[in-house]
Amino acid sequence: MKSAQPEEKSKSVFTDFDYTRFYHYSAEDLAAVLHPFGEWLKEARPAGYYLHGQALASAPTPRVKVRDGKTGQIRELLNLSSYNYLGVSYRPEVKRAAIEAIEKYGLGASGSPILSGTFDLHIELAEALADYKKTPAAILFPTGYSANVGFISAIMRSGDNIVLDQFAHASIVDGAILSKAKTLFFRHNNPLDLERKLANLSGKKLVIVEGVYSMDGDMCALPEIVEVCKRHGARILIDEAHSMFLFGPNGRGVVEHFGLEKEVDFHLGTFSKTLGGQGGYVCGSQELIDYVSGFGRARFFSCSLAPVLAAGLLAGIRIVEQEPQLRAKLWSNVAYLRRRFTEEGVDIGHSCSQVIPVMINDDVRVFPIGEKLQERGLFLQPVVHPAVTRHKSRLRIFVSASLSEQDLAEAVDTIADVLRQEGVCRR
Amino acid sequence: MSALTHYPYPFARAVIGFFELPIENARRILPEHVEPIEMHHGATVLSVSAFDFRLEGGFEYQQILMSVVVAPCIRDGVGDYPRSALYAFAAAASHHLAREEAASRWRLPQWNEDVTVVFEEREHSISAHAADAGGPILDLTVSDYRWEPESGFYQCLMADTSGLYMACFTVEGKQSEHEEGTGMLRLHDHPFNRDLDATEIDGAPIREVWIRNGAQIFDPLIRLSDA
Ligand SMILES: Cc1ncc(COP(=O)(O)O)c(C=O)c1O
Repeated sequence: MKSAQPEEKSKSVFTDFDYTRFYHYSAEDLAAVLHPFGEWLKEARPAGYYLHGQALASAPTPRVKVRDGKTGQIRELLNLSSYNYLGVSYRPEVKRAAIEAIEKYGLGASGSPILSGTFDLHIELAEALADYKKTPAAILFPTGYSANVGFISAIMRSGDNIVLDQFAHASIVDGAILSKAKTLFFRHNNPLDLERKLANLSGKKLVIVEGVYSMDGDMCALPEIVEVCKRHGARILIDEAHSMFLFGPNGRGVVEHFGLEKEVDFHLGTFSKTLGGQGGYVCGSQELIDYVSGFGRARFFSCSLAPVLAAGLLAGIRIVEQEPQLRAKLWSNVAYLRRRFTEEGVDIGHSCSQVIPVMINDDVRVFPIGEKLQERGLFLQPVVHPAVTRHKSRLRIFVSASLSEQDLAEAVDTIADVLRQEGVCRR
Repeated sequence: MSALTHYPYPFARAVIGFFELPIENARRILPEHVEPIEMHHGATVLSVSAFDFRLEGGFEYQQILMSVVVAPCIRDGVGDYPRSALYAFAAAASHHLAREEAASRWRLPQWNEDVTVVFEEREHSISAHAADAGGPILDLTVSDYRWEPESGFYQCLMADTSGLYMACFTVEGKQSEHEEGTGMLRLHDHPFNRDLDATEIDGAPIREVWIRNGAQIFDPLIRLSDA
């Protein structure tokens, strides 16, 4: 018989929870949860959660100055954490274009895109993007998040059906919620389960997938998913946040990689990842863009993208168009890391892209291991539940074309060394 | 330890599976003001468990229990913030004494027949098959992952015609828990499952728990509101 003295009952410790446990609660007072959450944070932050949200004091180049979340001191670290996959955002041409735009237009757009907030630069950017994507038209949003929320809620209604990959980004889920359509989730990248979910639905159907999934760096099983969708009369939206400008012979994304550009109905993405800027977009027919322009509330009830960003992004797209060698450099960096990690026995899960998870698979130890890596000079972030499933904690690397071979070697050597000390390496 | 303040229920094994449940189905089960947690838009969580109890004095019985995962209650006098809260809506036991205790002390809604729960243990998985004289009720299988001693604090809410109640409890034992989706639930066409729309419940679990040589230790029942 086990003893159960009240005083022996172990008090909750932060490792009992992830913060989602404080999301739902029932109490008379809506502020009742603040204190228990604050108490949890008091333990969780020094135990490693401080690694989230540390302030940068320099551009997101391969070496970044980071303010230490514990000591407050600024340290220079090797940056494995910024998107900026092609290292475009800090290129002189981009900065020059942005400076010129700010001289001409000032800071912000000062208006909604349907009122006073559309500038010549926005039109140029949308046209340049449509041209790059080989679609008739494109529409801009202030962020990738608002592109998903705005686009999905613009085209789907209560009574319609949305079927999402289980690992869909929060902005996709929020768009589905806002649309009030019935929303189902299919098992990650699993066309069979998608088939099961679609089989029971009648009415309008939209299936939403991502080109590359941002937690595991795995690619969408697009050919099989397209086949299932066609059979069930479902339209397809692909979010190419982490794949546009990278995949396919011309960088037009995973749809180009698979030769399925025409089979996918709606193409959405963000400028925050590969271009290291900000803003979201949807590409498609002029009729689609006109409709979304009329019903995309997240776009027109919000201020336009700042002209300075539009100018920088235009310069960024030109660079990506003119320098395919940047993509080649990125893929060679990715290949190097994959080979070296495999040789060193570091588990990188199912990654087949520039997003590489270093699997720790321990929801508590991921934090001290992350701290150790930071002490050894690497800037990379722990990812834990609920962003990934339990026991699948990892440190996530975003590879950039700007990283040199020495940078990559330093990253692998340090990670393998620390993981070996911690007994997490396979070799 | 005072038997009046803590109620221990040791068990040899426990098999617990968590499954997606449409929110509309959960709302049909839950009393007003008890809110299902939303694991993602439109879906909450159904917990299905089977326990193989070994009480002090040699009394052995088995129990199956179905619950909806709900918002925990934060109020003075209800103890620490729990790992999670469950609203128990259907229970069945293999012995009438267990049923009587569960209904009178814990207000657990009881199935009024003896059920047999057969546990079938393999090297890396375990199944619980529950049935009564009317036929099979459910089959639940979970697989193992990494075994670790665990202790977790939870809330259990129950309602009967006299009101809404809550009991806080700790579960201890050697536990394996994972989200690999390797287990399975089969709900048979049996009146015990009448509150659930079985066609809408995916039999692959979102989380699987297997506990060996553990105990549930209950704090006294708290009455939250009238019926
Ligand atoms: C798949 C996906 N979609 C949308 C977004 C949101 O993009 P943004 O950061 O531009 O708002 C992200 C960002 O993390 C993402 O990963």
